[in-house]
Amino acid sequence: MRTRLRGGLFGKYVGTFVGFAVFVLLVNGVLEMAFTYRETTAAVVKAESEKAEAAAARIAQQIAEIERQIAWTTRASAGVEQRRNDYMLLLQQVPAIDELMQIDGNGKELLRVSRFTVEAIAGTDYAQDPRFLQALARQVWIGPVYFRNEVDPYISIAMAHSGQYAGVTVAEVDLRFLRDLVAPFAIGDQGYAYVLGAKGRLLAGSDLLKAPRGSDLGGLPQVVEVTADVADQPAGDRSALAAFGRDLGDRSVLAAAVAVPRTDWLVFVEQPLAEAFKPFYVLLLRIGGLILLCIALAVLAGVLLARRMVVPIRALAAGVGKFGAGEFGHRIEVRTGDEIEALADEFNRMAAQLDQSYARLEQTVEERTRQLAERGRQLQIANEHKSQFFANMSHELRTPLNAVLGYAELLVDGLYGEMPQKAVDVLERVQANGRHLLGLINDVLDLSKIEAGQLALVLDAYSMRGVVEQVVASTESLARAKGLALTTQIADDLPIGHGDERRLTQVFLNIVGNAIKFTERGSVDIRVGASSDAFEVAVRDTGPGIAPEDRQRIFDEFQQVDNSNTRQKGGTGLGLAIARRLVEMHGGVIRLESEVGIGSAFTIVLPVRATGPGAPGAAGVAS
Amino acid sequence: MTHILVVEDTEDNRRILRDLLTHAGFTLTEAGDGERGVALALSEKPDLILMDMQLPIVDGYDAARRIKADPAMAKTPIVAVTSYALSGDEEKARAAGCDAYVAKPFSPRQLLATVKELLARETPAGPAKGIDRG
Repeated sequence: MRTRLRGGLFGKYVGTFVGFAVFVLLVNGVLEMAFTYRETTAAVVKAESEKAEAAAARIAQQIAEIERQIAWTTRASAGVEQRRNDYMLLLQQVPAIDELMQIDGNGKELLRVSRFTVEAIAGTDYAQDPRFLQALARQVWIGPVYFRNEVDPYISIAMAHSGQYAGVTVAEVDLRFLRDLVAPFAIGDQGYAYVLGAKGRLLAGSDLLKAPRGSDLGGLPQVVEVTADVADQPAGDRSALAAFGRDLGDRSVLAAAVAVPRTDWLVFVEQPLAEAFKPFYVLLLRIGGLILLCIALAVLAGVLLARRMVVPIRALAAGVGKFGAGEFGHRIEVRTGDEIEALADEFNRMAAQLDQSYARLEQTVEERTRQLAERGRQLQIANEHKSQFFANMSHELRTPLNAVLGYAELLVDGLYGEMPQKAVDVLERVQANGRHLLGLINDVLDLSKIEAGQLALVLDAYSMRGVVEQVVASTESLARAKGLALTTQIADDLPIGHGDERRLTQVFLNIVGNAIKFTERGSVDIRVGASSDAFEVAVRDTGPGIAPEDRQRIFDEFQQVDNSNTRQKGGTGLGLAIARRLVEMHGGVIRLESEVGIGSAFTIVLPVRATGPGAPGAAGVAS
Repeated sequence: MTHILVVEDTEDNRRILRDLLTHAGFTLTEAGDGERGVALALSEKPDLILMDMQLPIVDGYDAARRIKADPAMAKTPIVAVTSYALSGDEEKARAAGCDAYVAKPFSPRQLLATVKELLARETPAGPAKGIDRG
C-alpha cells in the first residue's frame, strides 16, 4: 500500500547539487571567457600592431637609406663619365637599384646605367614624364609601384640634381627586398606579415602567406576594412588599425595594419585565430573540463549526501510500512546520529508500545473468548438439562395420561359394564381432551429436542408423492366434514427424495391441517412440482388470510394470530415453529404469501437431497 | 388358552392390559421389572410378550434381547410398548428383537388388534399351545 512518489528525495538532492554547481561554474566560466576573450584579442592586436609598426618603420628607413645613396650621386657636379662611374658604384653598393638614368634640365635622357642591359643613350625626351616633372617640383619624388613581368614590384625614385647642372636622376628600385624586411615581423608559428601597395596588390609577404607577389588581396575583408579606416584617419596619424578577417585559405584571422610613411603602402601582420586564440581556446577547454568535473563531483556529493539522508529515510518508510502491516517486532536500524535516528527511535518505541498493547488486547480477547466459551458450555449444559427435563417430564406426563385414556376407552367399550349414553359422551370428551394434552406434550418435546440439537433426522429415500398422498388420506375426512374441497395436483416426474419421511409427513400434515382448520368455506389446494434439485409444495387455502405484521410471527413458538382463535381452533401454536425448523433442517425454506380476506399460500421449497441438519435459523422464512 | 406375559412397571397400565386381555379371553402373567420379566418369559414360555421399554433394573431393550437369545423363545412375538414416540425408537426396539411396536398412549382397541394379528400370524407356524391349555 505504498504511495507511488512523483520524485524521490534522492533525485531532488542530486539535482539541487548539480544544478547549483553548474550554475556557479557557468556564470564564472562565461565571465572569465568574456574577459579572457577581450584580453586575448587586445594582446594579439597589440603584438601585431607593434610588429606592423616596426616593419613599416624598417621599410621607411630602408627607402630613406636608398634615397640617401641616390642623393650622394646627385650632389657633386660632374661630367657624364664621372656620373657613369658614380652610377656604376651605386649599382654595386645598393643591390635594390636596378637602373639609373640621368635626365638633363630640358628633360632629355643623358645617361642610363642598367644592371641588366648594355646602356645606350637613347636621347629619349622625358620632359613630360612625371618622374622629371615631380622631381623638379619636389626635389625628391617616389613614384607609384609598378610591376615588371607582372610579379616584380618596382618603384621609381626621382631626385633633382643640386648644383649648376640642372637635371634629374631616376632610380628604378626593385622592391623584392621588402620580403626580407617584413618576414621577420611575422608572429607566432602560423602568423605572417606582408606589404600591400595601392589597390591591394601584394608587394611582398612572408612565405606562410602563400601568395605570389602581385596578387590582388584587395578583396580580403580585413584589407577592405583597414583601407577604409586608413582613408578616414586624420593626416599624420599612423597608428595601427586592427580588423578580423579571413586569409586566402579561408581561415579566420586577426590582422593589424600600419601605413608606411611617404607611400600608400600598408604593412599587415596577421595571425590565424586558431593560433592567436589558442590560450583562449585552452581556457575554454579548461573551463568546460572544470564544469564537467564539477558536475561529476556534484553528482558524487549529491549521491553521497542523498545516501546519507535518503537511505535512512527509506529505512524509516519501510519500517513504518512493516509496523502498518502489523509486524511490531520489526526494529528500524538507522545509525546516523542525527534527528533521523531520533525519529527512528521514536518509531521503534511506538512499535514496542503497540506490540505490548496488542499483546494485552489479544490476551484480553483470549480470556474473554474462553469465558464466553465457558459460558456457552454452561448454557449448552443447561439447555441439555432443560431438554432432558422436558423429555423426562413428557414421559412422566404421558404415563398417567396413558392410564386416563386407556381407562376411558375400556369404559366406553363397556369392559366394566354397560354405560349410560350420557356417561359415554362424557368419557369421549375426556378422551378428546386427553389426546389434545398429549399433542401438546409431544410438540413441546419435539421443540425442546430440536432446540437442544438432539433431534436427528433419519435420512432415507422417500417418495414425495407418497408423503403427500398420506397427508391427504389423513386429512380428507376433516375437510369433508367442513364441506371443503381438498384438491391435489402432483407432477408426474417427481424425483426420488432423500430426507426424513416421517418428519416431512409431520410438516405437511401440520400445514395442510392448519389450512383446513382455519378455512370455513372454499378449498384447500395442494400442488407439488420439482425443479432439478428442489421440490416445491404449495398449499393454498381460501381462509381468512394473515396480516403482513403477523406473517413472520406465526413461525415463532406459541404464536397464533389470535389467542382466542387458538382456543377456538385447538392446536398448540407450536406446529408451524416445528414445521419451519424441520424444513430448515432439511436445507429448505417455507414461504408465505397471504391476503387478508382472500386466503393464504404456504410454499415449501425443499432440496430433493436434504443438505443435512442446518443450524436453526440459518435458512429463513420468506414472506 | 393363549398365554401372554406383560412386563410393565406401572400398576395402572398393568391393570388396563389385564382388564383388556382377560376380557378378551387370554391368560396373563405379569412382571413389574425387566429382570423378572426375562425370568418369567424363560420359565413360563408365554405365547406373546408385551414389553414396556422403560423398566427398572433391566430395560425393555435388554430384556427383549435376552429373551430372544433363548432358542425356545426365538419365535415368540414381543410387542414393544413405549412412551418415547420419537423417530428412532421403533428401529431401536426392532433391533432388540421386538416384532411389533405400539406407542403410548395406546388405544386398547388398537393394541388388542395388534396382539390378535400377531398371534394369528404365529398359529400356523407352531402348535397352538393356548388351545391345548384352553
